[in-house]
Amino acid sequence: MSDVTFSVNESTFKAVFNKAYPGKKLNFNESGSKVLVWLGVEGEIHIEGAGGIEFEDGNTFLLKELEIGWDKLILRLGLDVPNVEIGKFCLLRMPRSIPFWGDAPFLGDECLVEFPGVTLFTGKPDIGPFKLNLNAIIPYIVTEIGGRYFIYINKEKDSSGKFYQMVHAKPTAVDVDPISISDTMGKLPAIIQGGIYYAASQMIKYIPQTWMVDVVLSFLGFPTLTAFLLDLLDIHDDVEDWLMDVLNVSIGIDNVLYQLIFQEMLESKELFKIEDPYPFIDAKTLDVSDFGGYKTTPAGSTFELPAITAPVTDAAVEFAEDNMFIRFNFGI
Amino acid sequence: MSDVYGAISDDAIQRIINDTHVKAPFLFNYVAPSIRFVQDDAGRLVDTEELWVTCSPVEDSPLDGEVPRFTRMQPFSLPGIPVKLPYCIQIIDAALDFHPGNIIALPPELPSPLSEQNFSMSAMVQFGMACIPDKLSALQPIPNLAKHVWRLPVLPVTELVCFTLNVFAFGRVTVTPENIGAGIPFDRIGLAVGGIEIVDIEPRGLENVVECYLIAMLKSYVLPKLILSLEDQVVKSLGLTVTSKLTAGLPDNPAIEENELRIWLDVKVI
Repeated sequence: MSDVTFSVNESTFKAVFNKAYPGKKLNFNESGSKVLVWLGVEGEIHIEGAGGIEFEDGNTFLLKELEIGWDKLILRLGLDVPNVEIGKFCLLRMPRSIPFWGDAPFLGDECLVEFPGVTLFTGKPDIGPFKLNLNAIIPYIVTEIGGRYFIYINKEKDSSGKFYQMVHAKPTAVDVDPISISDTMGKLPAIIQGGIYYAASQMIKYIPQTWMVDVVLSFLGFPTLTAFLLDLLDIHDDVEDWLMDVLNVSIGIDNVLYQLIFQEMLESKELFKIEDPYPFIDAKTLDVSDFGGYKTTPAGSTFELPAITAPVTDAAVEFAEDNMFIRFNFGI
Repeated sequence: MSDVYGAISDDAIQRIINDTHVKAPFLFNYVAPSIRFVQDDAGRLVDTEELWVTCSPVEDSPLDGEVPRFTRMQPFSLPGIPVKLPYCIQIIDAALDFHPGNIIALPPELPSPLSEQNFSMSAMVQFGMACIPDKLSALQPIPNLAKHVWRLPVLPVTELVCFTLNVFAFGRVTVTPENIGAGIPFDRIGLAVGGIEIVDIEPRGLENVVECYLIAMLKSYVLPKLILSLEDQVVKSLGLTVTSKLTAGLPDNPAIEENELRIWLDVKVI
């Protein structure tokens, strides 16, 4: 039997766990690419707390649902469009003969207006990167994260220099599912379309001969630059599918979140701490005149009584019977 | 069930008592000091200083810093003796034992073995009283003292008349829910003393009055403080700001069982 036993149940442990992981902002900035398209994502999340904790016998517990709050989600897109080269051709040719007139008096069969020929989309990338601000859909992002943690107790010094037996929870595995979006408000298509329109307008500003672009696009079968960009980005009817594919496959956002959360939890502070040495009587200021028999009589009217303590030994922590038990002895 | 649970064994408490006895002797030695006269090289009285007279010697604390050996008590008066009298009360040994009881052997006057949820305690307490010298004139070699001796703050002595009492008691913890206003519940922790025995003390009236004092000390201080300390340590060890209350609906909370003092709390993490 240990000298001292403390235990806490799952709900109290969860409350303590949620105090130990405050809403610190975690930023990430990742990118990936696929054919023609360069993709990047800027995001900011914070850990809100554990939704469900289940103790396992031994020294591990399951965190069944880690609640994440999204603070920022911005998609960055760049397009490296293949060069489109259109050679010279005649837009308006002088006819060889003029009805009721006969042969053209001059320039017969000569080209009056010639398309000069052009090579479009020579930039690297040609478009962007431009930003698609997805903050408006943050409330509808579904992030499912779980994990298994182990607990241990260790003697450590805190920032004030005092030593404690500290109980920590460290992740052994964090499981992040691909994120999904529950676009219940149907905002996503409008957000994506708006972003593409904006990108197209920005691009046109930097192409001096925009009429040429229209010509080229008509050759390619697209009525507008926006339609062309949507096609290049492979955005069709199901915008939600497209976005999930970008985030989960092209960017690998689940892996990004895994790294972020795992690291944050490794660095998290202790859940519980027990002073070591353990104070039975705290240090205090006392009046000299209330006591006697000093080794050396204090000079002033008060003196500092040191804390009466004992070292903590055999500290152990484990889960059993749906409780976390901390046990230790006094080294006296 | 409860949110938080804490338990401490009687063996641990015993070692804490023993360790504290060594490190903080002033908690176990209560002395109303006497005085002694300070003379100069010529033998003239120049001053007085306190003399902490005890029955048993008290070692200095091994701790660094200023740790006194004695807690000051006020000297007492007796009719007809116009000078106050020094004395000492020393707890030489103390023990606490929780059900089923394996540390203290209770005297035959008290029921044994301990009943469920009961604790027992024992203490060897040494009392020392000053004896009035037959001839206060014995002090006369010190110039000018005789006529002033009655004006001294306390009788100067160098030793006390000592006797030792062995005290045994048993009882159980009681909890009375109260409302301290504003709808705030509060559990008043008390002590029901089942019996107390002072070995070999006569007459009966003296035993009764000493028992009365000891019961009052136990009820108002010793065990409630121990329980509150355990409750405080449980909460403190969470390292958080919490409000706590004894878990209701349990048959015994706090409980004294299996050589442990146990407490169950409902907490609210703030």
